[in-house]
Amino acid sequence: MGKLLQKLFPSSNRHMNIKFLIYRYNSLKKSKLKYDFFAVPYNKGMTVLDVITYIYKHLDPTLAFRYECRQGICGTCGVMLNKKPVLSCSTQIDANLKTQMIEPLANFPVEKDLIVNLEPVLKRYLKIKPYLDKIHKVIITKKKSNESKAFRKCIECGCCIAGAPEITQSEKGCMDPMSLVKIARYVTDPRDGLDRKAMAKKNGIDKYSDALGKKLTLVCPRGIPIDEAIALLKK
Amino acid sequence: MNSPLSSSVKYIKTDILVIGAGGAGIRAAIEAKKSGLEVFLLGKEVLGCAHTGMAMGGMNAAMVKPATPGFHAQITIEGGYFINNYKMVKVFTDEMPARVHDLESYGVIYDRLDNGEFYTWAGPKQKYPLNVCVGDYTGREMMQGLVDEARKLKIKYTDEFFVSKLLTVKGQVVGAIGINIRNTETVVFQAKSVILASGGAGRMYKVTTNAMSNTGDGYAMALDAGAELIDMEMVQFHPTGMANTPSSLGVLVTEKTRAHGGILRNKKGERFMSKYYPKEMELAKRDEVSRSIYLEVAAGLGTKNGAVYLHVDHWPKTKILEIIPDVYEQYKNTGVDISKEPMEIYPSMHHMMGGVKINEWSETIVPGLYATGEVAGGVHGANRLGGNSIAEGQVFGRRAGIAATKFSKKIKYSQLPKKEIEKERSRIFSFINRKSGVIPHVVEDKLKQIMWDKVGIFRDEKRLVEAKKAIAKLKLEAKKMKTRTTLKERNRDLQDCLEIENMLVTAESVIDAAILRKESRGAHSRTDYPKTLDEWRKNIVVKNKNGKIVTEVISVIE
Repeated sequence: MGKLLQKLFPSSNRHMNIKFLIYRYNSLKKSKLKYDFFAVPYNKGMTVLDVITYIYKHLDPTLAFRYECRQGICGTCGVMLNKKPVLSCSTQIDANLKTQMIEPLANFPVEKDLIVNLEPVLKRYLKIKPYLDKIHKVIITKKKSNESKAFRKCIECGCCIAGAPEITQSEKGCMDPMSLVKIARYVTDPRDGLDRKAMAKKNGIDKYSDALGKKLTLVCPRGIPIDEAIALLKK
Repeated sequence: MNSPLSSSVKYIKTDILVIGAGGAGIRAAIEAKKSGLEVFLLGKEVLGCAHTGMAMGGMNAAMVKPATPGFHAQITIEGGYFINNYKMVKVFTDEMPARVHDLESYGVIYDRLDNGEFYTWAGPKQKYPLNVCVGDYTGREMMQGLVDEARKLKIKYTDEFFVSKLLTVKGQVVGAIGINIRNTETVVFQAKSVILASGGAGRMYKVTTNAMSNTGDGYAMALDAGAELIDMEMVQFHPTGMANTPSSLGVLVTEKTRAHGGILRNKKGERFMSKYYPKEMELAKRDEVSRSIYLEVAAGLGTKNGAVYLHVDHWPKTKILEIIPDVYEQYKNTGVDISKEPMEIYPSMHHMMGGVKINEWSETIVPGLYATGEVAGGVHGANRLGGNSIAEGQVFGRRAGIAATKFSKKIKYSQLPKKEIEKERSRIFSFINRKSGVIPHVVEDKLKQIMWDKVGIFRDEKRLVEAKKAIAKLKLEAKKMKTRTTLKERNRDLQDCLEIENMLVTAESVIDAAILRKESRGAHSRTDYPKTLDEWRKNIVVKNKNGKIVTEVISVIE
């Protein structure tokens, strides 16, 4: 293990710092929004999560952030890196940018620093009945299973919501992309008994343009084809 | 003053309290909720983000002939080196097919063949394949199904809540106390029964596949409440954890990779498993493959990173993307294309086979206390087969739900122990309120190093005794931990302090049992006692006697 660390932390890299601007806010204290500067020593292969934990461990113990798995699968560590939504554990730092910004996911109320309040989104989410309803007994073949497979990969990380200000900021009453993917997941599940397409229509599927779909597909850390979900629900 | 001690305590009453919102905990909550009783579910992390979701390869169930529950039971016991609780193994393997169907009714869709039959693959010892799966993210889809069902049933929950102590009156569990991680508010839950489903303890090791939440809270709390632990010396190291960057160190690479033709090679390109297990090769049992990799690297045949290679670069890329899409992504995120170059891997602490001693109804010896999932022990014996972990939590989660319901219907709420509550509050807030002290992560880093160096894949008396002494010293140091901030909102240091105390108790249990077992069996490999001995076909029980951890040897339950 020592060798591994030696190789990845060669002394030539040790003194190269990258400056990070970190979003700071405490909703419970209604503090003033500010950005703090932290200089973090760069190491090859460093992830956004490494930067955050370095700051917490060595520079500021009050920094609030979430993480669990380091595997890109639990969906709890989403942040904005230079205004783009990413999972912090699965995203490496670009060493060419000498100053970078880490903020909480956009389009969510902020609870503290890099932690967003998930409640309003979950409240909206429950409205589309995000569960299998009225089960029909059918044989699921490989073909049938594959129809919903990509949409079943959602980990509710919220990156798509953060990447869709067009919807979340200006279209009141329109479902967010996470809800849209969940509806597509059940449209393609032959066991679900609800009229999900009508649900999608009622919740503003027409507000989603093809261009937005393409953009969101690139945003999704799980590679879910959100553009295909939109096309499917519009059909 | 702003001292959190002056803030008020919130009280919540519920028939059944479930601590832990992973696969087993949510399954228990679903079952209990269906009975009509009040259920409250608590999780340390955001709902849906528990460690269950990190399980990749699959879950074992006799879904497709010629596999039968009897065959599943047989290899579980052989794989566990004959110290499993046989009664638990029987109900586990008999009931698994029904639990797979439950999960499908919650939304999960396991991978299928063209004719609609389950796609199954064979892990170690599986002459007949038992693993049903969803790509290589089986655990995550399973979590999603369980969370969806919990939402459908409107199960009450608080996520990001830390339970620090079980409350008992005259030896019976009557609730639990803890803090809301968001704002450090103390909440006391009064319950007729408590289901402990708080997961494992991977974080006490320097290299682990586990989520940050796996800090042995349940082992420490159960001991404190008077319950017993079993098989704590049995710690599983998964043979293949990522080892190419520090950030990804230890992250799981599923067994499904080797089961579908992944090949292990040393730095010379030799397929070294032929030296150790020429018959089973890459699909020897987890303890066996982990030891082989360890020996290979120790002999100087590892890579510069102190790892070995796992090859799938001979597979067509389409096969990689279909069988192990997430493994592909994990390496891609670290700059490695596994369709073109080998992965570097090294064993990573993965699973606690041992845990709270339960019977086949998930009952502990403490009235009102049930345990399920990784926090419970017994079903896996000395080595867990891949695919049995997220599986057994479904069986014993459901059973915990049923048993707790039955118990709760019979009794009234007990009075809460006021003194115990106040004592626990002062313990919690002492970490914030004391004027100076030790930084928590300094203690944690020492613990991780001790466990990794001295209580690892190979063990011996000398290092185990050194570890025991070091942990005893560290426990004293931990009493002086002090948070670096007095902030009430999201005080991560405070959570660390409480978790570190739990990890230390867990570590002590592991070490005491490991010192006592003077043989090698399954995951417990003693270089000073290399043979498996008939007279040691026994279980070691760890319990708390007047605040001291003591061990006892018992016969295997058949």
